[in-house]
Amino acid sequence: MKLWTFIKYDVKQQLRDRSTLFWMLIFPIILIFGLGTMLSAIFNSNFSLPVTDVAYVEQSTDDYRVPLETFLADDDIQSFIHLVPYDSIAAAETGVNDGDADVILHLDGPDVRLLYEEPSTIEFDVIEAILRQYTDVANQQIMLAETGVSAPFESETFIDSESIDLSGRTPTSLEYFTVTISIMTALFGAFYITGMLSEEQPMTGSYLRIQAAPVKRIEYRLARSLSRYTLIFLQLVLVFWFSHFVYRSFSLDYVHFGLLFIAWLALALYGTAFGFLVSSLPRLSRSTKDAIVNGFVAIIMILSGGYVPGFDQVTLSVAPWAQYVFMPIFMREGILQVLLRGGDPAVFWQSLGWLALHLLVFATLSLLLWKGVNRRGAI
Amino acid sequence: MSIIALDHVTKRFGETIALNDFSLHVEAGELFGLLGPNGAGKTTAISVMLNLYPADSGTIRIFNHSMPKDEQTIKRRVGIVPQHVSVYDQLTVFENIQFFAELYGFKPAEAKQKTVAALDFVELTPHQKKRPPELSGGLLRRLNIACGIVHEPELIFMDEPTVAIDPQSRNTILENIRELNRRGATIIYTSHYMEEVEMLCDRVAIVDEGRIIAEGTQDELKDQVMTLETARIKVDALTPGLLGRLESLERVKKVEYEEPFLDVSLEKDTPLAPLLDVLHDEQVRFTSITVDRPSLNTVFLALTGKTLRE
Repeated sequence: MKLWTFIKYDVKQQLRDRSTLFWMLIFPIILIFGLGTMLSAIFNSNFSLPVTDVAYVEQSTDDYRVPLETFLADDDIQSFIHLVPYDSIAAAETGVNDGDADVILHLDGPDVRLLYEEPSTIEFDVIEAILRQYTDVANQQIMLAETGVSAPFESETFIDSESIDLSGRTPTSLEYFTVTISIMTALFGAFYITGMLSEEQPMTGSYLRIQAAPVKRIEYRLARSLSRYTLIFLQLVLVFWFSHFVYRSFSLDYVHFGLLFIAWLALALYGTAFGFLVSSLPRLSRSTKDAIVNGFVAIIMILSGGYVPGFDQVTLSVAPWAQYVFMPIFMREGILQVLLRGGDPAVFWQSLGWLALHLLVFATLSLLLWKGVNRRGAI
Repeated sequence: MSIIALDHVTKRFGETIALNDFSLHVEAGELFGLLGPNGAGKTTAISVMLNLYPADSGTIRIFNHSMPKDEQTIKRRVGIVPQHVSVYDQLTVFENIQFFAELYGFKPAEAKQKTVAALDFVELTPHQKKRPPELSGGLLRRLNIACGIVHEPELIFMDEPTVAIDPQSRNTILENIRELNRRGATIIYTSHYMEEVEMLCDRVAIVDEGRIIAEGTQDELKDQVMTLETARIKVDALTPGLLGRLESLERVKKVEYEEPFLDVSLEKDTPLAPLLDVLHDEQVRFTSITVDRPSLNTVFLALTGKTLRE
């Protein structure tokens, strides 16, 4: 019951603290809104995509070839896709390598594949989205035909202005914000631990009363951790809710909440372990320790694209090893795609492994430092 | 039976010895003063009794339970009013008190009742919806007390609860403390204000450099150190032979004159009649006589060679 008492009053305090309210609830909304507006302005209605050279390899029958080529012959699509026919995938790959094409479209029997190198670009994403629309409708056509229901082919059906509208790229802000918020979650843990330990000096502040009360320290720490992470969870819910309803084009259906939740949990542990490490450093004042944590947060935020969307790509192009050293859970190619759009989760689990390794190192160093401090008898 | 029994407790912080072979016994129902200058070890003594700092050596028994073995049992029956106001700025006065009531195991409804009683006791009911930053220094101190007594503890540690407040609030707080004691609470009161300790406490321990250097009732303490008293006589004028005659009186140690006062140092409990006879014989008119009784500050000065405010 004391656990509940702590959580109840701690959450109440946090929600009444104006600075907490601003940084946890108002600032994220401003950030999303600001980034969204900025990206919407970039991708306004006057924006036109550059023409993409698509290496087209057709290895199918007329049943599948004709509808696809009819679809691709549409004027709207022709305005940004230039098909370059190739006989084989190998030839198409040579064409891409020579710079004659940017992406390969392979019609292999009934299958339509778009092959491109990571990292993808907006143009490739748009082509992929259009082809997905095409295949979805084509599959429905086939299903209706198989069940004996007639379904007339209408090419304009595939041109859904809402889904092709480039303002639909606005959720990119959310994608990047997901990085930011997740890192914040993790490092808030670090703040929390350094803050909690410095607060937990006997005979200081309100903690003195807690110490004097019949309360177990573990109960108090657990309650405080739970209350703080409750607030962060509220923040995440708000961010997703706001992003979803303001920028409707982003579908929550594609978000892998299970994986995302595991990522947050892992990052929170990462931050907590880092906090323990910093708080265990001997001969440093509280302000120095805070400065270390703040500096670490700033570096990670910048390098991983938390402040400047896309900066993570710059970091990785300059220092590919950064993906293993700085916050491996996010600075890995394809992690965001896995979390927000699905895909092969192998890279996710691999990153989690790296994160576990970091945790282990932090925990070991903390333990060694902590033992050293105790041996010297410092308080 | 002693409610508090500390025997040979030592506590070090690095090279500094905060408590040095510290022993203290307090009986149930006492209002006991711990008097000493800043840094003497008063607050450390309280901290060690509540296991906020573990003692390096010695034994601590409170309510006949051993600390730290029976820590939770002891803490349930103890309240603390810390030196610094220890409350939460984002909670209202009422919520602060209720929070601490709930921490001591009261269910919310019960805690609410206790909170109302505590608010009434410290006369903070009109301010119950305010938050601490909206309160004056005196009101904050009263809130600090309310948070420490809301669970009706049998033993209360009050660590300099009147520091930096106005005289009116101080009087209210001192009256609150007396009332708590009248209701049966044992109170350990630390202060470096000797006037407060003299006013409030039944027994006093004088602490210096981590040790108790004297302990007892105020009279006992004064008796330990005082062998002289000073009679201060306000006179109109001196006669040539007066000082010599006074100095020759039995049990008179020293006579000094600084207009208009004549200060006569006497052995303790010396009758004043011979002194007055001399004044009469010399036809010296006097308008007042006061005998300077020793204060705890005098006791402290005599024991340590320094004053309490150092």
